[in-house]
Amino acid sequence: MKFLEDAVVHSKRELRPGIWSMWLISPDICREAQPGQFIHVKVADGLDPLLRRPLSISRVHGDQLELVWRVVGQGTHRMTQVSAGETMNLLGPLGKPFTRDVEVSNRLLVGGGLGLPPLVYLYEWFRGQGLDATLFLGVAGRDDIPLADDDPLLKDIVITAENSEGFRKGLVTEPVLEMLNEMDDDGLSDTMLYSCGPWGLVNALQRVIPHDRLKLAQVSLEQQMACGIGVCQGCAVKVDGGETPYQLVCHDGPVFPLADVHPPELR
Amino acid sequence: MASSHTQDLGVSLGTLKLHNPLIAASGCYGYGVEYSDVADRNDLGGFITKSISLEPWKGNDPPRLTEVSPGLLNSIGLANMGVQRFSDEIAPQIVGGKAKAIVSVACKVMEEYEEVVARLEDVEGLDGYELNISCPNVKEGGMAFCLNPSLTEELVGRVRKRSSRWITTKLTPNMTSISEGAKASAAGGADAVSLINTLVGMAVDWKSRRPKLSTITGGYSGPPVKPVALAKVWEVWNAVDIPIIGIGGISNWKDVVEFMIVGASAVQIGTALYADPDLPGKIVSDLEDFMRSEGMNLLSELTGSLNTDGGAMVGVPK
Repeated sequence: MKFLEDAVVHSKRELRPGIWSMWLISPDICREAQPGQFIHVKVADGLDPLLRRPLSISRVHGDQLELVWRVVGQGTHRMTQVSAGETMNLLGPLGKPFTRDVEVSNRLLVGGGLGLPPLVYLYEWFRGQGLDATLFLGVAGRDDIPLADDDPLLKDIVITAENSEGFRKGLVTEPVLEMLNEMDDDGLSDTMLYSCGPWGLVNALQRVIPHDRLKLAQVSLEQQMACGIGVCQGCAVKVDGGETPYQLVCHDGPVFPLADVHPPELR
Repeated sequence: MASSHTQDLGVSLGTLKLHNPLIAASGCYGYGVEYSDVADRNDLGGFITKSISLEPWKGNDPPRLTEVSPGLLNSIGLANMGVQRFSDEIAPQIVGGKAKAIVSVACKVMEEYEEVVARLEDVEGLDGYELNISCPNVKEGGMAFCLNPSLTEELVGRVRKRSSRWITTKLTPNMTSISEGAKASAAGGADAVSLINTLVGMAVDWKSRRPKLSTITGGYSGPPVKPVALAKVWEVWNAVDIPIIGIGGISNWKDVVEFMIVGASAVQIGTALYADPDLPGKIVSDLEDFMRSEGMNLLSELTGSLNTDGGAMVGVPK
């Protein structure tokens, strides 16, 4: 079930320069939502900007959900100007969630930059079930971490940074690979990997991680989107396993098997 | 609703009668079932499905759309499930409601249009067809049937022989004289014409010097195209006698009223549905308020009521 809900903004803050968090009161959507799903946000009254903005659900606590975003243009900037007590129209929850119904021993969650939010939701869900999970995050530097410094989750995360002191230096795939390298075949086949991040991360995971030996490896993708609900066919990505060479991020995804995804050629 | 006795929003498109003039445009309403969780299809007078072809089409390479705010540039390439699956799985779900179910048909050659319509004739309860002869985003077929009026007339005539159902043609603004396309549609036996399809447009990333769409150019839609669409509807109103369905940037009740004034008997709402899936219900309510405040009983009285005798309006626009 999907809802079109006028959600009251409970709070909003800037986590890092240009990275924002907003908590919204949205009982219907919160009741239905699952980790990996997203919300299509109407960022302003009227039609300028014209389209909704698709944002992953970052957390659900009771009847409130959190959205985290980086300001990249007119729509995401507009969201920073909304005050607590105002309403925003949300369409959701949308898309297919991460697969969580398989009994395994190891759960590795790998985020790149602003790809972290859906994995936070997934991580908290696992922990809420009393299940262990390891959350990895790769960023360029401290300013790219989509969590506030006072967020208790920070201490749980294995963070790699390319150019900031205080974190392991390097790529996020390195500690992930180290953990997988310690496993034998039985361990690998008892492992699920979930990921979300820029195409560079998807490429790297496909290249260096033995994903075909894992129980499951999934990735959540992003694409420009109009309807969010499978109507316009605009958010196609090249992913195997569908009836055509393309699948829709909004309807068939955003979560896809890592091995099926064909990242665009990065130039 | 007490007011329904005095405010009649019904319109007539020849043999097709709608309980209000709002039709969801092809490509913006899926197959008619996707929005059912969040909006009532019967708020609409009718809806037009995504274009159906003989075989399934995979559509164009991504990226397929980009926002050129407050407009949208798309190059979907008519991705669709094909007539067989549509007839078997979808069509039975969309017929029989208050909203008329109209199927858009888009093919590469005339014989395929005939074949698709012939197969759809077997589906009970469909209310008509919109022949999409104006898609700017496919290599074969697409706009070619519309750019040449003699092809338009022949195509409509051939489909007409296959069906007694209501038929409209969807026309492109990307031609010298859209009224020639409308006249050819009427001559071929169309019951109405739908206009306008998207304008050919382009978006470029200045930094990488790359196009923002895989096909380089695409179709431009949204609020900015409304003045172009109004002018085309007005042109066609003065050229043909069959009903006109106005399309282009419609997002509120005033837009509907304006399109009807320049000659539209009904309108299609397209891109704005992406922002507000429940927009039709709001517009119906606003149109009823408008009619009450104007003391108007029949909305259809608006069609072609543009006053050109006294020159342009006087005063400040409201």
